[in-house]
Amino acid sequence: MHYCQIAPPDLLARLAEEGTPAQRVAVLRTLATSAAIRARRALISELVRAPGFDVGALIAPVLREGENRSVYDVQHRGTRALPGHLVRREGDPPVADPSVNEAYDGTDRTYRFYDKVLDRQSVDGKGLPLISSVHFGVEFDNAFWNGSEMIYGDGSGHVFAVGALTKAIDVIGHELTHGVTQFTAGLEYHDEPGALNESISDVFGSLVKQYALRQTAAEADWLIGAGILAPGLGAALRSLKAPGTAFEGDSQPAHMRDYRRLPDDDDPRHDNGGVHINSGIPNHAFYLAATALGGHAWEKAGRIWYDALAKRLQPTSGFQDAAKAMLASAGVLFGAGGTEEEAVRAAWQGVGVLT
Amino acid sequence: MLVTIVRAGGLAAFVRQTELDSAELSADAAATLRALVAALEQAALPPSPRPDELLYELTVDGELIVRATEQSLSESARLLIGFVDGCPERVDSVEPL
Repeated sequence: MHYCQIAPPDLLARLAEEGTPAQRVAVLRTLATSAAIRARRALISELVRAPGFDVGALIAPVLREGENRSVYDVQHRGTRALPGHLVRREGDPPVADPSVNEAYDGTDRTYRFYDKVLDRQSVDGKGLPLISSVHFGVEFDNAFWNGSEMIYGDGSGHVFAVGALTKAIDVIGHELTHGVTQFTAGLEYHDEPGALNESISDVFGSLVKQYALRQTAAEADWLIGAGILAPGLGAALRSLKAPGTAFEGDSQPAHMRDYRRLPDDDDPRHDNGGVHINSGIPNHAFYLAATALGGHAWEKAGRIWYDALAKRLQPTSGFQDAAKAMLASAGVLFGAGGTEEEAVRAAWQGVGVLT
Repeated sequence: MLVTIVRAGGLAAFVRQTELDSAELSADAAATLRALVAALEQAALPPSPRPDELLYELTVDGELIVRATEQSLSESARLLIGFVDGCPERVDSVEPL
């Protein structure tokens, strides 16, 4: 075989990441005819990370049916090493590393919630395989959906407790819901649309946990990330029940009169216009609606919020748009003028978004 | 030379500030720090941030050198941050937004 007929995997990966659309299609064709399945898997992972790709369509032919979850170990390296070494695939038994098993289980809980409750298959609604990479970076204090896969750091002990970032299923649900929002309303990540984006993730993150525990709205703790902050920082990241009380110094508002105006600029201290601060307002609206309706929060309030997210919200939607969208969704799902619609109206009035 | 790293945003949205003063370092470590700072590229404008990405700011002696998101942070900035994090002389503080 001539050397020039062998496409070095690194070059293919670079083209998949950085190439023109035509180059990426050529890479895909090369992969489709490649006999080296292991290499193909690694390269598909690169493709998944390339922006603007129909990742579901790309992956479908190469993965076994029902192969939804895989967990990789990045071994403390960075973005260029993603996704890392495959350590657990769909159907594999637990491994020795608890981070791997926690990421696997939390992904499973989230997938099941969306599938069983909202009839949505994976974050894109088309069964997108869910890739998780654990042990990202060194003492990395974050977990996030990078647009195509889940990334988990180990925590530094300064912000997150060491090893805690895979432990909270509501956090895993929160992050994967950023993927759902990306494939549905596409809410922009700044100011009110960004705070709404954050709130949607907190709402469904909390519902993933409540569904896993089969808790009613009255039984749930309505916290996000309970027990994962570094010792001394506080009990949880956020509270939907009582915004502003999750930790010492928590300044989340629960009402529009306390909306915090921060600049939308590149200063890290401004949080893209306070997206993690002002999310307290729509968070609390959901809590009010869910507790007013009673029972399991995912059965009524959750379906209303999801219908609005999937069908009515737009990238630039703010809180008022969200309130109107959810009123419309409540009317369509449960009947116009019904108790559900009234509970939604009262909830958004309760946080000062509707008058 | 005083290097200050601010890391904020992310899932928790806490603001972590890390400072390292070359005066506290051995001569070798101080020289490494200066070399890493000299190699820093001025950052291009960060792309629009992804949800829950970490956001970074690097200042040297009070002068703003880099603001970036997780995806736009340059390799030279990552090397400097990794070096600072590895120095026991650094001083960390964490505050809510």
